[in-house]
Amino acid sequence: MIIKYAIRNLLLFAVTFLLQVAVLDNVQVYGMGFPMIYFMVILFLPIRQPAYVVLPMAFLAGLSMDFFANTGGLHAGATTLLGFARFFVLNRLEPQAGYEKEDVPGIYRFRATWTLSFLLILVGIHHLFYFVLEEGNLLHMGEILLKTVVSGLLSVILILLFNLFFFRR
Amino acid sequence: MRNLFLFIRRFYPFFLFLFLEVIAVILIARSNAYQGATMVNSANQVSGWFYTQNNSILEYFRLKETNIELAEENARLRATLGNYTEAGDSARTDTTERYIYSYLPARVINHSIHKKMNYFTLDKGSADGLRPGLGVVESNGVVGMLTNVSQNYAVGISMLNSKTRVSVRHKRSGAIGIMRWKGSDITAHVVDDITKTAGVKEGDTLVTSGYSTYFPEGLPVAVVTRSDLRDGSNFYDITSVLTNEIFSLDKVYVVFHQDYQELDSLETVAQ
Repeated sequence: MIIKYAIRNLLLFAVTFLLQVAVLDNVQVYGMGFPMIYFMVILFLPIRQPAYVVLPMAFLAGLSMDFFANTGGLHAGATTLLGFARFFVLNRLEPQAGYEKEDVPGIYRFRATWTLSFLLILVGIHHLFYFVLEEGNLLHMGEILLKTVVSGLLSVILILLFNLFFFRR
Repeated sequence: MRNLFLFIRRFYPFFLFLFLEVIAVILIARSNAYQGATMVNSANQVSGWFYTQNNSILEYFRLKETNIELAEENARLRATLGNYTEAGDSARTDTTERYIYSYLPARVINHSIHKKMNYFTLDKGSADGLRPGLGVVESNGVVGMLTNVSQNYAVGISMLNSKTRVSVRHKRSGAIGIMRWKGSDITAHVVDDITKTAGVKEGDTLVTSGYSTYFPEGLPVAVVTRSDLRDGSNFYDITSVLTNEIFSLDKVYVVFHQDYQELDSLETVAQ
């Protein structure tokens, strides 16, 4: 079971990462939409995964992106925050009955509203932090927010599509 | 002691998060430094290999464009060559004259245009004699400067990077200025320090000044799109648009200045 998860996650990371550097990094929608999905594997880790697994993985996923995109450490910073925030978001969204031991976030285990709010919040946090770090100051907050919303919606749509087809049982 | 242990156990995720975030911020700060001495860049075997593969597919879609560009460049070079041979018939015998600049052709295998700090990756590295601090040009403009070089690949800051500074000359008057990018509009490069005696007008050409060892003198860089002279100011506020097509970087030339070491050490001493 564990090996199955590990292989699936490794494959998911490889596919999303390649898609990111080969295609999505060359995409921009009206100068506002820059979809990012390479951190998807962090979102879809098993819910009970402890912080000493999630945080280093998130950092490394971001850092490998930085190596390809020449972004210094922007992706590493944003993805680490995503990994940390994920614990709180999962806590807030915990259903009445609680999580089961091997639960993985996603559309096949939870309701659509759960999945959608989970993705929107976390992708929003990631993108917002990324664009703030890139700008280096808070002077152009309007533009940063607009970029976050447009890019975030594109990213969430792509991640949902991946969730639908990649995780099919 | 036991309490401390429990405290750390309870809050370790936060400390781990803080630790990783601090590393990230240090990396970002180092990459934002002007020297660009960052370890995190795409001049490494893995991304270099990937971008080479990626580029070898994409270049088929650009073949026609590339052909036209090369033909145009050929025509231009042929025209200048013609001037030389006509004048050169009466035997040039001055052997002290030598070529200060030499060029190495290279390929851009990856570049970005929509970030605040944009970089490009070349398919040549230290094995071909490249080193950080070399200028990169295209047939019709300036591309950028190299910042990181590995054995087989090199990364440079492009003209669309807020760290990039290029010394330019107003072609008509000869006035010197510094060109930089403010980080958003790719058709708006700002030029500082051109004095009001220069008489800059829209449509004027800006060329490289030759004041640095990055680029040879007189290479076209940009065309002025707006020039204002504020009341009481001695310098123009100039906005310009680049002459090269920054969207489709492909074949470029790395510029070698033969005497860079001498110039460099001399200027360091003078400071």
